[in-house]
Amino acid sequence: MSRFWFVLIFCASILFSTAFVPYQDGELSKSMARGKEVYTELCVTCHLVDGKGMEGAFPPLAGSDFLMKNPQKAIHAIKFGLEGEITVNGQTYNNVMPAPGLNNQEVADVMNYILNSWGNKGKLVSLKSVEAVKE
Amino acid sequence: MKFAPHFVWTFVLLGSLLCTNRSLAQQTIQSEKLAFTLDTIDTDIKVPWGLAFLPNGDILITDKAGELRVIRNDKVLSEPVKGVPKVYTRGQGGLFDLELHPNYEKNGWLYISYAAVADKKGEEGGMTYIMRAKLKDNTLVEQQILFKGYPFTTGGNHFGARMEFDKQGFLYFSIGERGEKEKAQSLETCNGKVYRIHDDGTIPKDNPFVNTPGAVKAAYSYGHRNPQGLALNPTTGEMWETEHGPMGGDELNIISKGKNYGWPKISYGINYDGTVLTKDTVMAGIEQPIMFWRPSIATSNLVFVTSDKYPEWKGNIIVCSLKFKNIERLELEDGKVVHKEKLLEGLGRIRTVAQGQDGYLYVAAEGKKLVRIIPAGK
Repeated sequence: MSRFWFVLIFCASILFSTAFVPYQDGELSKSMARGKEVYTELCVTCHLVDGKGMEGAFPPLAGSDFLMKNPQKAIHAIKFGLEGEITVNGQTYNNVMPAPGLNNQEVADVMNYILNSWGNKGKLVSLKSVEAVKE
Repeated sequence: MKFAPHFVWTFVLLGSLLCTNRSLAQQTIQSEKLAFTLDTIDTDIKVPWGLAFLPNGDILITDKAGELRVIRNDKVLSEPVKGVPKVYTRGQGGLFDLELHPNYEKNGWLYISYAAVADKKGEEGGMTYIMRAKLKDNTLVEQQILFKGYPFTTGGNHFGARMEFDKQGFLYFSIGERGEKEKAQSLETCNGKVYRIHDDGTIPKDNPFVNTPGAVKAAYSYGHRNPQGLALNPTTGEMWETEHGPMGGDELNIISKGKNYGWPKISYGINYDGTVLTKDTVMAGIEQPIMFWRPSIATSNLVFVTSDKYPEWKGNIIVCSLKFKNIERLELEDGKVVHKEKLLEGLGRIRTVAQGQDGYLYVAAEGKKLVRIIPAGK
């Protein structure tokens, strides 16, 4: 009988721990939540809700090699805008993204959102690392 | 001597490269009804928004980032116009449209729309304002703010801000719903309306809501999402409007006095997250668009072609698309769009289109370009 309880508690604890793992990283998830709001306000019309963008016009963020390999460039693009030719997942894009006029904390938040959504997995972007990116 | 052939080849190669570049710039584009070339004026303006053509041949152009620039003899003057108000640049905010008074040659009034920065206690963010001023010694003088939109919000969306005079000399302008869609249905806030005022900012006595308690008296129509296009139909005298809808619901409307255009009660589009916004596309007492775009083209401005330079296009509408980086030429019959042609594919996110004093159509694209459409052989 005691074995039964042991197994039950063991299973329950595994269930609970997996349920809470994604929320242990409080800083990241809070920043992502704020970032999602910024994304929904200013980014979604072009990059779309699934981060897939529009082929040939607006580069994808989901599974984007450009974003995941060069977060610094992405921070620069969000702070100061981006124009000219870039290659994302083998496809060239030549467009203008105007600077969305965010403060540095919002840049960090939206970076954390796009680096960790739609299957992307990135490191936490801090306010300091955003401040360090100059034009 | 041994190398001579190399030199020759280099010259031939260089020569042919130059020729190709030249012919690209001068390439004749054969469209359905008109063959034309594009004259490109290179600007250093990342996001152009509004254009005005002065009687002396100068072109005024706004840079969303907050500068007013002068183009003289196809060159952008390095010195921006001084005295431009400070603008709120979050998201879509910034310096917007330009419009000359119908009697500009006599009175010199230049109208400017912009996202004003909150400066009162308890207010934050930006909101659309309309001002007029005169241009003297490259400076805006005699500035008067004619309309102050409210309430302010930190949101960076949907400022509207296009302006156009009608035949009677009324100034129409638009303000988007600023990301607060329910307010487009309220007459008590400035969100989501098209306005009509006198040239000096006073309210016309016959505006539709002047006797409605609590209403914004300058309002002329309501229920708009983000109208960024206004153009006078030269044949009928009606004010035509384009507005950004949600995903798949951009609209072309004729603005009628006191009418409700439905946002967000009815729409042909859906939310950007794919969820349904409203199941209704039609409702009693609400105007229907002349046409809608699905998918959305992200329509900014529109213009009616009246110029003799384009007899083949006369009476057509040119609409610009931010999303598909092209323009659409719409043919009309009895107030309906009967044919559509897409042109200038890939020019860049096109923010505005206008007809200059010289009769040519000008198209301003993001990415530092202003192009003039020149009919071939003319």
